[in-house]
Amino acid sequence: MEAERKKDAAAEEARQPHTRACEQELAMSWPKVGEAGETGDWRTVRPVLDTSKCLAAQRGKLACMQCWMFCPDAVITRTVPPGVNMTYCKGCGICVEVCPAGAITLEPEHEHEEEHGRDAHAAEEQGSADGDDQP
Amino acid sequence: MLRKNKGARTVTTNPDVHIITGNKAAAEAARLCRVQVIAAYPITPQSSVVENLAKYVDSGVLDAEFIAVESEHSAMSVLIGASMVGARVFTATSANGLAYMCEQIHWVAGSRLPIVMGCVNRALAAPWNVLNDQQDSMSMRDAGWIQIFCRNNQEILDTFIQAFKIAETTHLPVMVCYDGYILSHTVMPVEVPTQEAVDAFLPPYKPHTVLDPAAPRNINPVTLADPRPNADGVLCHGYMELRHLHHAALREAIDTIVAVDNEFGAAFGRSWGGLYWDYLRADAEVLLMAAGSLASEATAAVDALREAGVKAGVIGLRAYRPFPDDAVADAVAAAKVVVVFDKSLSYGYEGPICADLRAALHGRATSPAVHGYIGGLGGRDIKARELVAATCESIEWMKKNTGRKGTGWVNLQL
Amino acid sequence: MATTALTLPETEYMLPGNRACAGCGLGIAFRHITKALDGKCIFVVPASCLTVLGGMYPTSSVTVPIMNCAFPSTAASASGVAAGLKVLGREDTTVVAMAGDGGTADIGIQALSGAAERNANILYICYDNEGYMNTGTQRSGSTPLGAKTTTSPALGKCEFPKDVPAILEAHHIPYVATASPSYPGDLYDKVKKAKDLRGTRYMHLNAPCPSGWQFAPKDTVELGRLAVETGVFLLYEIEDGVFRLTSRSRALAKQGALKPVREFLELQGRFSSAADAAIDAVQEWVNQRWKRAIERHAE
Repeated sequence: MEAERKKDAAAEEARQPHTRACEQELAMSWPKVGEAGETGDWRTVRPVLDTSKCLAAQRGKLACMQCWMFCPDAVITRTVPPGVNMTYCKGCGICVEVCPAGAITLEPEHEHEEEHGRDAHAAEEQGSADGDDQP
Repeated sequence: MLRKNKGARTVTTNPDVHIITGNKAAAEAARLCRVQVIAAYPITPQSSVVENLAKYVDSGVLDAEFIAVESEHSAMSVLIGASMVGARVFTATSANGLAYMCEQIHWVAGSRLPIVMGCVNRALAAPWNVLNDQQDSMSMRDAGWIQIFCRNNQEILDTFIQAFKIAETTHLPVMVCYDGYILSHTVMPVEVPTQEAVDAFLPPYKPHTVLDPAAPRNINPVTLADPRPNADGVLCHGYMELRHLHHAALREAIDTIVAVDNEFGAAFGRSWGGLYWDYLRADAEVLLMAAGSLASEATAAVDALREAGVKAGVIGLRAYRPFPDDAVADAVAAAKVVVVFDKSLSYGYEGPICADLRAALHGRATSPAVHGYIGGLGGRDIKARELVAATCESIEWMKKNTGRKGTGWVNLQL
Repeated sequence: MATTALTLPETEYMLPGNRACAGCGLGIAFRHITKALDGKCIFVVPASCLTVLGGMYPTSSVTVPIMNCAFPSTAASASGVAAGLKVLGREDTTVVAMAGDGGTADIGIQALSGAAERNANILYICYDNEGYMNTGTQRSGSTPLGAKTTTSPALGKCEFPKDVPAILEAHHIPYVATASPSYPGDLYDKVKKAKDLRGTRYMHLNAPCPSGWQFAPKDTVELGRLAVETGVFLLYEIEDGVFRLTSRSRALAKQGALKPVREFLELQGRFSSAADAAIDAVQEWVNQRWKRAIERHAE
């Protein structure tokens, strides 16, 4: 009887979430990408890059990089061509405004629903295929 | 001039015994504990603690950063920053200074920083009053600090040394409380231990909250009520779990306070009773209870009561938070009445020590009556004969009445 | 040689997927501040939008250490960190106090003044989004005249903002500078310069806020540029008492003219019902400041 009760209590304890594995006695956080979750979910529009206009892509070397420099979320890579991490891009559109070549456009997210979470190059190909990338 | 220092040595040839004030004793303790960062803002009657420390730092006696801040709020802020990176830190304050740093008093405790602070007890304004009562530290009762009251200048020095050890063991801040002027500005003989002895007793602080770019922690961010997983999927505490741990640490500190006092006794030949001290308690039917210098005064009242045939004794409360409920309840169990003298007031109820004692005794099979008195507010002098009179009033009341006696006021001229 | 997009370091100290609003000017600034410090820093942060950006326990969205602190205590807490590092022999780490304008111009100004008077060894950065944006856009001592906030809802604010850099200059500290996330190279270079100085260094950042200023998130950089081009916000530095316009403000002083403030104000919903008289008053305020700046500017 007693043994059974103990067993039930142990099972109940296992079901009940607890923080006993946490060894902290004060609140100390460690870094995590996606601290606020997949913030790409916030987007209603997404940036789409036309590599035929992108200065870096055109020159085939690191150039311009205004989109990378001004991104408030550090989701654009300093690469040729620049890529956008769509898992976390919030779709603010700053990159569109600061691009001196008009190479980035914003497209409604629902047109890209099937690509959610995929990275920039996939998005860019989609944009080009649609022929809807004129500034 | 020596007062209120029963049993202290008054004549000595020991070169380590100095005739000093309570504030000087506090500063000496901080020096001996090798504090590394001191933040200072003047307030009466605390000021000479940090003035003494400023002299030590300026003259090279103490290797520390002395930061003369622009407010008590900033004094505690400086200590928080310095303690968070791993320095041993110190400050002292009184009354409105303590009230002004109230936000940071809570911040320190929630950060579990082992900060030690002197609270030179003084009445809170308004109206202005620079003299002693204990309303200031009592108003910080629920901030999550350890609070220890001292009864003489030797105990002040010794308690600060103990306090760093308690704080660094429990990861809890300690407020060492002593009565303004009555102790802070009264000279008494105090044995100042050697640096070697203190070093042997108190090892260097090993911090638990190091801020370092190599380990980029974000300390004290927004913390939700419910637990959340960390990057590795480990479910971490919610705000409530952290509060529970803090509370549990304070309850465990009851044992630590006793252990450190015992250890101090073994090392220095003096200990102070741990959670409380007593005087002629063994056969006492009437116990007078108070914290700080008033409890020392009560020993004189007990001598007079004994002469008049009353079996009286004293309980001097040392640890007020954590409240040593079981220890104190056991200590007073055999008495018929405990007369509690509070130098502070929980407005709208009664004296805080009195209320806590009542709660500690509740539910016990046998327990003494508890009578509360408020006295000494704003520096109103309390003489031993007034404690005797209040005690006699309680005894007389017991003969004629049953149940709960209302709060009395010592020497109220209204 | 001024830093450009191509010479800024690639390493990031702010992680993607953080809690800041889309288009947050603070996000851009924080990236370049931490790059300039090479990550060798400890941030001290009061209640503010940066608290939000930093994330909730037990995860953090930045890879530099942060000590959160009480709202009024930023500069004092930071000077405590600096003192602690000094006694522990770790002075190679820059202590950065970073607060919003409410935490700087209002509730934190006493501690800031105290730390500056003591010349505490800290870099204090105020990111000025011109109101209590984290708590829902209330008016601060740094909110501009004419701006509607939730505590100046009908008429807009009736007073000019405090000139906090001027207050800090009056403390005779080694370095005072302004910067804008719309001019990241200038911001980066100033933080780098400040990093190598000792004592209290103060930087005041213009931080456009889409939700509080009521403009589209895509326009954050444009708003920051217009603030400079209209002279509402001037880019300058004061090193050992010598005042110099920098970057775009310096170029405008050399040749060209400021744009009318109306061009900056009309893009923001918070000025949508500002009276002409208020706009004229802002223009006059700008004109006077610009005149003084040009007079003081040393090449």
